[in-house]
Amino acid sequence: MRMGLGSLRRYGDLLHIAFGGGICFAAMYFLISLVPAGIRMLLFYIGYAGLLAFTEATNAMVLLMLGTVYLPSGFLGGLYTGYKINENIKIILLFPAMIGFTGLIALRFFTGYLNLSIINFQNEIFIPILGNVVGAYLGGYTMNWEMEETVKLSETIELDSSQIRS
Amino acid sequence: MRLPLALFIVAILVLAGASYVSFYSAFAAHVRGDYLRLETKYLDLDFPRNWFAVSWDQQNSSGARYGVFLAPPNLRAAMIITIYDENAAKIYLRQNNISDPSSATVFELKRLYNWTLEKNANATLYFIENGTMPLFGYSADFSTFVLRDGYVDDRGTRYNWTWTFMTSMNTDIFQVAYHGVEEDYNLTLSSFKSLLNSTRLKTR
Repeated sequence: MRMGLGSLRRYGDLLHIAFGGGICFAAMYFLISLVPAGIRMLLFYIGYAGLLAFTEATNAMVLLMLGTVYLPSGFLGGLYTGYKINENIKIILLFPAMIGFTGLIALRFFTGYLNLSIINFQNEIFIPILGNVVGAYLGGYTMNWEMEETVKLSETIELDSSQIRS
Repeated sequence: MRLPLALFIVAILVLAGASYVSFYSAFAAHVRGDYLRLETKYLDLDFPRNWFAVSWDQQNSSGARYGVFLAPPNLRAAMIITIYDENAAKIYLRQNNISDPSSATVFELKRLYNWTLEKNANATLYFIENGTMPLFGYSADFSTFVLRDGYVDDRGTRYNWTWTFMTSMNTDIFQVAYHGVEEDYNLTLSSFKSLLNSTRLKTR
């Protein structure tokens, strides 16, 4: 049985999406174990570890996690996916972000770091999804930005044969 | 530079800046010299600025339970303050068959000892002191005891675990516990006591 070129390409795209999701998840796993610990160490070093007891400081941590963990993770996943896939990226870039997010939730759940009965929807669901999705789109479009400009240019240039001199 | 990349960098810088502003506002609002002032619905307290602190507030149809956890850095010791409002206090007393502060202290002590036995079946309990003492301007029953070999660290090393547990009861219940590995407990005892003395209740 022979596999058609179209289905082979679709299979390859799926593989790239999955790999993009894997990059997003791996980056998130690495950064999530680095950034909060780093901030705690920094605050401890400057003698203000107690600041983390206050709402303003927990909000600051959420913003920092969004900017330094979720957004870059999604960006890296999107960068890879956008590099490998050039078509339908408006829809496709959603998937690496969601794969990365689902992987993180599953890992945290099975390692006991996430209790679904007392889950903080904003910090544990909304912010990671937002960061991953926005990051993935920015990454994906970074890879395809030049290409879109080239396509637009090729559409507008018209060749007038009367102006060609031999 | 490609526009999405520029947007990505700008987003990171904006979020990092907003985070810094938020940290700084926490610093400006709560620093009192070498202490940080934690002002909550139930109590105000000043704690050393390098201690770890966490507060929580559980509210549901059966009442409100509020708590603060405080721990000094580099020491295996901590202090926990728990407050039950009137409704939560009624349920706590009924569920655990408790009628007075003394029986509440005994109940929590038994619960703690049973939990310790799960970690080390050979842990033993001995009392240092029992009695009453002032707590937030009211009388509280307290018990100071040691769980010999009750604290087991990650490497499996066992330590004596010293606790002071106190309960004050009116329409609400106030429970304070401070504990630590014996030598760390002794090092932080005066800090715990001064922290407790500076705590101001809002509910009574």
